[in-house]
This record gives sequence, structure tokens and C-alpha cells, in this order.
Amino acid sequence: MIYITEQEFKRIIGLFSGTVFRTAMCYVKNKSDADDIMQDVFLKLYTYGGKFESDNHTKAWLIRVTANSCKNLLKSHWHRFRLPIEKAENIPAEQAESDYLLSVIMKLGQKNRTVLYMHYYEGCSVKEIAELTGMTETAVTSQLYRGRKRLKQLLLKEGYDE
Amino acid sequence: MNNKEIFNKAFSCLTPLTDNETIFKNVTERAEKMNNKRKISIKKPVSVLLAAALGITAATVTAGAAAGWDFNGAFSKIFDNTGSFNERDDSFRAEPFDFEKYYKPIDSTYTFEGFTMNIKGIACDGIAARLIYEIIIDDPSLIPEYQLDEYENGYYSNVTKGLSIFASVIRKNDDNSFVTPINTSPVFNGNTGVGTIGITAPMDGLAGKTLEFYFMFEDVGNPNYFEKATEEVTIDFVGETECIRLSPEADITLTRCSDGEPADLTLHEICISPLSASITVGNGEIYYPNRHHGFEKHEFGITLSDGTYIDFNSYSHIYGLMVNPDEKRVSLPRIFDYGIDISNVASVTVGDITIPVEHSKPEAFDFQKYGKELDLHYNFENYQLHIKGISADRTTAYILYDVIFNENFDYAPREGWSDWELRAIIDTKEKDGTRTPCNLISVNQNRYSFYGMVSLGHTESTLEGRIITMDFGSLYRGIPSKSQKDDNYYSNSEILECDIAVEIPVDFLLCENVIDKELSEKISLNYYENGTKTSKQCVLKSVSATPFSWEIYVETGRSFGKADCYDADITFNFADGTALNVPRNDQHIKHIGKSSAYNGIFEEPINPEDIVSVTICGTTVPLK
Repeated sequence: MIYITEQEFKRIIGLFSGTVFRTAMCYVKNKSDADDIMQDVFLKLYTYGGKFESDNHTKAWLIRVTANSCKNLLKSHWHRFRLPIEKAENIPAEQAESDYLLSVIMKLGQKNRTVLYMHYYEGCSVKEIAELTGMTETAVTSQLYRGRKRLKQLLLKEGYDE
Repeated sequence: MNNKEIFNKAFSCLTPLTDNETIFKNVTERAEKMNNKRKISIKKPVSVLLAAALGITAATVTAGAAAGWDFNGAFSKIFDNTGSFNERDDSFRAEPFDFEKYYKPIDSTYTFEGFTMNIKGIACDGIAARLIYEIIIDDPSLIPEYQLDEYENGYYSNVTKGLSIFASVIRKNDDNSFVTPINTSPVFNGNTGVGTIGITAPMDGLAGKTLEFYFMFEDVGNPNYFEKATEEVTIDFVGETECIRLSPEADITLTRCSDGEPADLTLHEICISPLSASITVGNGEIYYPNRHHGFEKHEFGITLSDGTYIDFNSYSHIYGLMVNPDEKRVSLPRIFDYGIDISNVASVTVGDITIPVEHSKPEAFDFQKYGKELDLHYNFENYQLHIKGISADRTTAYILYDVIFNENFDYAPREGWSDWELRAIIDTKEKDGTRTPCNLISVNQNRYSFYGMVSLGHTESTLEGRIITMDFGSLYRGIPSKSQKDDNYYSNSEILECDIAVEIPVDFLLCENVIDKELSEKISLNYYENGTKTSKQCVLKSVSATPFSWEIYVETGRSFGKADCYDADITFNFADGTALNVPRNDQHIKHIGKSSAYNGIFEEPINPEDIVSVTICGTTVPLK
């Protein structure tokens, strides 16, 4: 049974497809899998019978479901690994720097990566990240601290000028 | 670049491979395919009685049970937190709910030094029980003061001053096994407080179980103060237990508390009552030796028909889990802090799954399902006769007809006069039926609705293929005669002619037995031998019923002589607690070798699906 209008569904896709995709990327590290997961997540939203109080509520739900879907995929025996981003060629310089930074970020541990992404890109608070990921706030704080430290080490190692 | 700039730069160019329009198209097409391919199987609609599912026989709470105790008032006192004790989402408060169906009063009083405890009663469904008690404190120094300590799912209340109450529960039937209860500390208003002790049921339910509630009372300010009380309660009461019970058999992923890892499971069952809710999951491999290994908080709630979503995470304590190692399943029960009215649930959500809930209400018997519409109209001077339809089983037929008075005719009731009556003879063409008068069913302004009936009685014959004749004589009303010796029933009457004859062929589907139960139950029948009444053991072999008639088949174990006679007191018992006794004069009895067949016609058509049991000479045999 469908509980959302087409118009509303399109609006939500427009607002959050990027968020879902990028969140999935933090977990699975490749675009094809992230894209598949994104569509799965929107399918779940489409058939979800609950009501959302606000767009923020919807976003939190989407991120949470994305995280769970990614974890399931990573546990799956059939997890595929396609086209690592570091093998992409012939891309514009601007995008080359973005991809380079992304590849460094992708070298972080999954929890570090996810927590840092939610904090710095999505602007989530420690409390919000804890609720979205199911971690305790203490664990989130710890992951943020370690993630920042590790990221700095990686960037310096790669010769990235601060 | 700072970290924020790094992440912005890294992720801003990261866009989905699929554009939004295609996402929409793919998702809606997949949803359509899913809808057509696989339905979440709903095993039973909302109206199923959990009592039947758990093997509990239904019985009403005895009259007077509520005397002196206001159920709704008691529960609202406990659960209507004003925010001073527990912080809860105030967006929802349970609507006034009738707990009487789930409640057994106890009214035990214990008097201690400085206070009195009154155990008021216990509320119970198939999943949980909640004992309710009242504390009246005489010694002001015992009035408790609380400190709230936060934990992951809410607040603990610690007594910092005054009376501290601790309760434990023992299941007496299960080798005195301990049950860890949920203690809801008393909420005080002045010197009177109301508290509850909640427990969840074991896998085999609570029905018939005896629980011992053991209370310990201490004074935080006086280490030497100690009192105790024990109350044994047997769950032998049952009201009808309404429950939403679904068997989705759907895939679900929950996160294990033990290691934070996802577990791919099958959601086997969802069960919701006004007092509690649970899900049962498993994956064929799961087995938790430790009762406290559960799953992290997951979406679980209901959407009402008005769109309101009730998130169970806000209104209940998750209470460990119940392990069924044989079936490799675990049930995750939670007891609501509030009673929830579940009569308007539109869907249930667990994790990412939403399941619609169908509400089926018992419907009045549809006569025309086993008959046909006739729609015959006959006009008379002051009224119209409308023969609407006929419905029948093998031996008995009911015909429905209306008398519609003309508006300019004075048909209105008169004081001292009877209702309008329709005089008709309804029989088969062979004139071998048993006839009843035309009975008035209802009056709606100028429309009077009647039914008439004809039955072949106890016979191997059938109405199928026969012709039923209806000879209408007159429509009349009158002033009943005062003396029963009067030849004329009415001292005065108003008669309208209705002289027509109608033939109705029985050429439609006849109603088969709705109840057709094979049995082998020992019963007793009244036995008369040479005029002396005794009792004889027999075996009830079958009970069958249509909306119009019934038959009971009994093995007596002996052949009959002329002087022998069995008869039976027969009562049909309905789900709503009412009963229909069949007078002996209305029973047909046929002795066949060493067996007897009793049959008869219901006084008026009934819905056989409402029959739950039959009582024969004091022995009640369940039929469901």
C-alpha cells in the first residue's frame, strides 16, 4: 500500500537523493552500490506507512535506513566492488581535486568516515549522529576525534598542503 | 582548508548516478510489481478474539466486579503523568479506555505501621499483566520523595526519602520461577499513591497461572523499618481480549545489542493489545541464552485511521525478550505505560515494514445469500404488499415481506390496539409443512416488515425443487379481548382485505450447515423408563446448524422399546454471552437404532457463526 503522494515523493527525492547517495558512499565506497542502495531506500520510503513531522525528520529517517541498508549489503556474500573511484580517468581538474579528497576520506575507517561526513557535510550534531547511527554520544565524540586525527595524518602523508 | 571545507569539496561533486526522475520511475514501478507479486499475509483480522487463540474460554467479568472501583479513574491516575515524574511526549494521551474487560478486582488490604496498602486488582491480556495497588500513608515521614536518574530509555526514580517499595513476582505454576517485574513507583497525591507492578507472560501465556506478588517496604530514613506483604493472584478471569495479531512472515533487519551488528531476521508475528505489544522474530539460527540480549531500539508503532502515529518507543518499556529455543524465535514484548485504544488501527509499522490492518465487523446474516430476491408488488386499496425475498435451508424457508401503507391512510398506532398483523398461510404445495404466523420484525413510519416461515420439520425430504404457496387473507389490528375464554381474540378490529395467493418455486441455492461439527463427547440425557426419569450416559456425535434450524445426533447405545424415551434440555450459547434454550415441544426426535437425532427450528433466524457451544442436560460442549 502506498501512503505518499507522487508529488510529495518527487519533492523528497529532489531534496534528499544526494544525501542518501553520499551517506551510502560513506559505507560502500563505490558509486554503483551506493546508487542501488539509494533506490532501495526510496522504495522503502515510498511504501513506508509512517508520518514525518518535518523534512528534518524525513532526512533522519532516510539516513538511518540508508545506514542499515549499507550494513546489510556489506554483510552480504554477494557484495560487489565496482569501479573504485581512484581508477577513474579523464576527469576535470576541479573534480580531480574533489575525487582526490574523497579518495583520502575513503581511506578512513567506516565509522570515522560516516561520523565525519554527517558532522561536516550534513551538519549533524553529536546527538543527532548518535540517534542516526545507533552509537552512543560518547562513541560519536570519540570517532570524531580519532577521525579528524587520522584524516590529518592521511592528508599530510599524501602531501596535501593544509 | 579546514575539515568542513575538505568535506564540502570532497562530497559536493558526488552525485547519484541515477537522476531524480528515473529514481521516481524505478521506485514506483518496483512498488507496483511488489504489490502484485507478494502480499504480506494477514492471517486474522482485528476482530479475532485472542482468548480463542490462546485457548482461553471466554467468560464475562462477573457482575458487580466494578463496584466501588472506578477503573478508568484508577488507570488515569497512574498513567496520566503530568511531567513532574517522568518526561514523556505529551502529544499523545490515551483516550478513556474501558479496562473492565481486562480487569479483575482483588481488594486486599494490608495494614502496616504508618501506612496501608490496598491491592486493587490486576489487568491482564495474553502478553502482560499489571497489578494495581494503592498506598495510603498515615505517617507523614513515610511520604516518599524521588530523584530522577536518566538512563538510555527514560528515567529511573530513586527514593531519597520516605517509603521505598520493591516488588518481585513468582510464577507458582512454573516451579516457583522468578519473574523480573516492571515496578512503576506510586504516584502520590497528598498521602495517597497509586502504583503498578507489570510483568510479561511466558511463552505459554498467563491464563490459569498463579502469580505471587511479594512486596518489601523500607524507610530510606530508617534502616530498621521493614515490612512485607504477599499476594497470590490466579489469572482465572477472562474478558474478551481484543488483540491485533498479524503474521507478516516478512524480512526485517534489527541491530543486536550484544555487538551492534545487524541481524537479518524474519518477522513472524506482531501482537498488540491495549496493554502491551510484542514482535516475534527469528532466522532459523538465532538463539539467545541470555534473556537480556535483545535488539536496539527499532521502529514500532501503529497508525490510526485518522492518521495519528503512535510510536511505541515513547509509551512503553521494552522488557527483555522471550526465547523459544525449539522454534528458534524470540519475542520482544513491551508493556505500555498507557492503555491504548486499538480499535481504530489502520496499520502497524515495525522497522521498515508497514502492514495494513483489516477491521472486519460481524455482519448480520445475509438472508439473500441463500435465497433469492422476489420483489413482488401487489396493490390494495390502502396499502401495498411487497414480497421481498425468500431464504431457506434444506427443510425450512423464511419469506420476508413488507406492508407499505398509503400516506393518506390512518395507519398510525392507536392506544389500546395491537400492531398490524398479516394473516397468511404459508405451506408447500403438498401442504406438508409446519407454519408460523407472520411475525412483525420492524416498523419504519408507514412500512411494516414481516416474516413468515414454513418448515418440513424432521424429515429426509427437502424443499429443493418444491413450490411454496402463500395464501394471504387479511391485514388487521384490533383491541385484544380481556378474557381468554372469548371466542373472538379481538373485541374490535380493523380489517383490510389481502386476498391473494402467491407461489414461489424453491429453485435457488439452499443454505448448507454453517456449523457441522463431528464430536465424540460424553453427555447425559434425560431418560424416562415407565414414567420414571433418570439420567443416561450417551455420546454426542455431531451438532449442525443453519441460520434456521439445528440438529444434534446422539449415540445412546441401546435400542428403544415403546416405553423408552430420551429427551434433552438443549441450549445454544452465543459469543456475546446470551443463550437460546430450545423448548422440548419445539424439538423433533427420531430414534434410529441405537442413536437419536434431535432437530428443530430456531425461533427466529440466527447467525450460526455466533454459536460457541451447546449445553445438553447440563454438559456444555464447545463448538469452536
